[in-house]
Amino acid sequence: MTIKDFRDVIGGGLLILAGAAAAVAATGYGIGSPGSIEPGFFPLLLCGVLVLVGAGIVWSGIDTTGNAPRAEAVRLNPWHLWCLCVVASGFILFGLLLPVAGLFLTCFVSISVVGATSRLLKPLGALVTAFVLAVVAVVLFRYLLDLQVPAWPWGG
Amino acid sequence: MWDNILLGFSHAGTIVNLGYALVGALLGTLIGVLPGLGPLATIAILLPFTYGLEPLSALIMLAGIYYGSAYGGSTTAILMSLPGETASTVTVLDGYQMARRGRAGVAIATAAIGSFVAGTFGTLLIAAFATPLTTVAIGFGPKDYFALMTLGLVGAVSLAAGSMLKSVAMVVVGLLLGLAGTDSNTGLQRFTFGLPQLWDGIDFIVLAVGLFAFGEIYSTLAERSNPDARTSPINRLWPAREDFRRMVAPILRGTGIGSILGVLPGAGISMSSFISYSVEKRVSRNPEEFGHGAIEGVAGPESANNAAAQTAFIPTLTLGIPGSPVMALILGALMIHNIQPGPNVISSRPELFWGLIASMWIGNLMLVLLNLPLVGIWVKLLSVPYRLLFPGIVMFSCIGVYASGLASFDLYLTAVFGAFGVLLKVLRFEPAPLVLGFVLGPMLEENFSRALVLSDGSLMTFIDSPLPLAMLCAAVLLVVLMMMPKQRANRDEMFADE
Repeated sequence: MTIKDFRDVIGGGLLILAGAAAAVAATGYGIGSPGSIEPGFFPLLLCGVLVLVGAGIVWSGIDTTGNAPRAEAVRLNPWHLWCLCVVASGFILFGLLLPVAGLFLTCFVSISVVGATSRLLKPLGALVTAFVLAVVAVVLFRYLLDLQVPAWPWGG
Repeated sequence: MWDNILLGFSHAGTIVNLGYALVGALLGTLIGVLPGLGPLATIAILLPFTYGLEPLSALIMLAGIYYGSAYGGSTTAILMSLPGETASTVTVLDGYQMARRGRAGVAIATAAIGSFVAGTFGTLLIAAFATPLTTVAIGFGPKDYFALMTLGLVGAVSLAAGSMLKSVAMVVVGLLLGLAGTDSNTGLQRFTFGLPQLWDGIDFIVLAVGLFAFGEIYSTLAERSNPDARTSPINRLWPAREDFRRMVAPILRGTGIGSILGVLPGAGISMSSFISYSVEKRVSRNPEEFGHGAIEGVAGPESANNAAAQTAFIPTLTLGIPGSPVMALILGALMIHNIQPGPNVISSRPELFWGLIASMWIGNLMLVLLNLPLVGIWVKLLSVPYRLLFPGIVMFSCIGVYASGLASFDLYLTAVFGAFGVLLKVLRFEPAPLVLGFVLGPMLEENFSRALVLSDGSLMTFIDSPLPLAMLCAAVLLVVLMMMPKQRANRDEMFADE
């Protein structure tokens, strides 16, 4: 018995774990009986399905005949991981800055960071793009669409 | 039926709503033409900005984005062999070949004319079937709804691309995520991890932007796919008499195929264009022309996918059950405006329902009358490099998420779902079924528990009357059919061909 697809085994395993964890939580909400169901009843049902399906996916990634080709390993590509961090940090930075710095600075800083770290733009290009976009954002969202968010650190 | 259509036109035809239809169609085309952002991500990003609008105007604009992006997708498919979305992959086969033979303009015009005919027919079909269907649906009890939603979810899963088990898993994960928040019956907090920000549940926009917009930004960055911007020149737009003669039958056949497939959950748009293409190839007297610029190969699939895009609104609007992720987003938009989707919308908000249907036809007309002459401008946009576009996409996504809840927490949660979406991509799970489950989760649970209350706790209630029994049997049958080895092979072949 060998593994023919690591992705299926990992993915199915994660689903089983998630299903089990959610089932434990659901039990805490009270299960009840079909006659008088409590908030945990339906989630528990779904968790059961999830664990079963997860097991099925793990099974589909395992070869029992012994003649499947060797599985290719799932490697983490550092560049892909970097891109994930760049995009995620854009969203997080935006959320951190907006309440304190206002829309203009938030857009300017987070877009420059994303632009420069993605290596698609040179640092100067990133700053210019971010500046233009920040101006567009303030004019369009704050003044034309009247979005309820301060444009500057001091309000406005 | 005609009274209703007139009512619709009187509401959709106001200057303001015509304006929103135009803005939606233009925005949709713009996004469809630009690489790296599909209709799902676009609607998710733009949804929060429609909060302040009247519900009808918001829906009209979103629907405009929906079919505008389909139009934009086929334009790039023809000019650059670059399908903007899956539905236009088939158009590449002959459309691009026509363009290489100097007939790019004719191919684009053919696609637009076919889409318009199909759109008109699809709109009439919705108008004809909406009232009878809702009359049936109003008599539905909780157990009927439970069975219908189950059938819808199973249908969407079994007809979608990729591994069926993985799609089922995604639906169930979506259902569970949909349940997070305060339980409506007891007030108990479920799956909130002790975070008060989750008491109202997960915001739909957060999930959609995280899974789709974030995902598309990430993959374009990671794959460094800077699309080639060389396009074929456009000489003449208007097809010759011979072209018209050859496109009539394919357009009509494509419209028929698309109208039927569009209603089925999940089957949707890309499958209809594929089937239309193979039908055209089979009935053609000169099948050897296909793949070398046959006009039938553009006319048929383009009509089919547009007809399907229209009729997909039928289950969404009459039953409140979305057949595709885009429809789930449209339903989400309705709920945001405090309109509970379902058979009651047509009687409680007739102006909304018929206005939207009328606006679909208006939108299609605008695409033909306004966009065709604008082809040159759209083509110029293709030369804008992605490195200048993506910071804008990031910014619009962030502002959109923030605007929907005015909370920084939503942005952090978007990053979490974005990372989750990337994990799904690495493990080859398709995130689209998750959105269907997410939207249907609360409704499914509510109907399930109501049915049990009505039956005094007997689970037999779901199978002891003919309608739910038939629907659940159909669902089981669909699963069994799709599990059969031969059927699986056919299905894989079909999607491999795309």
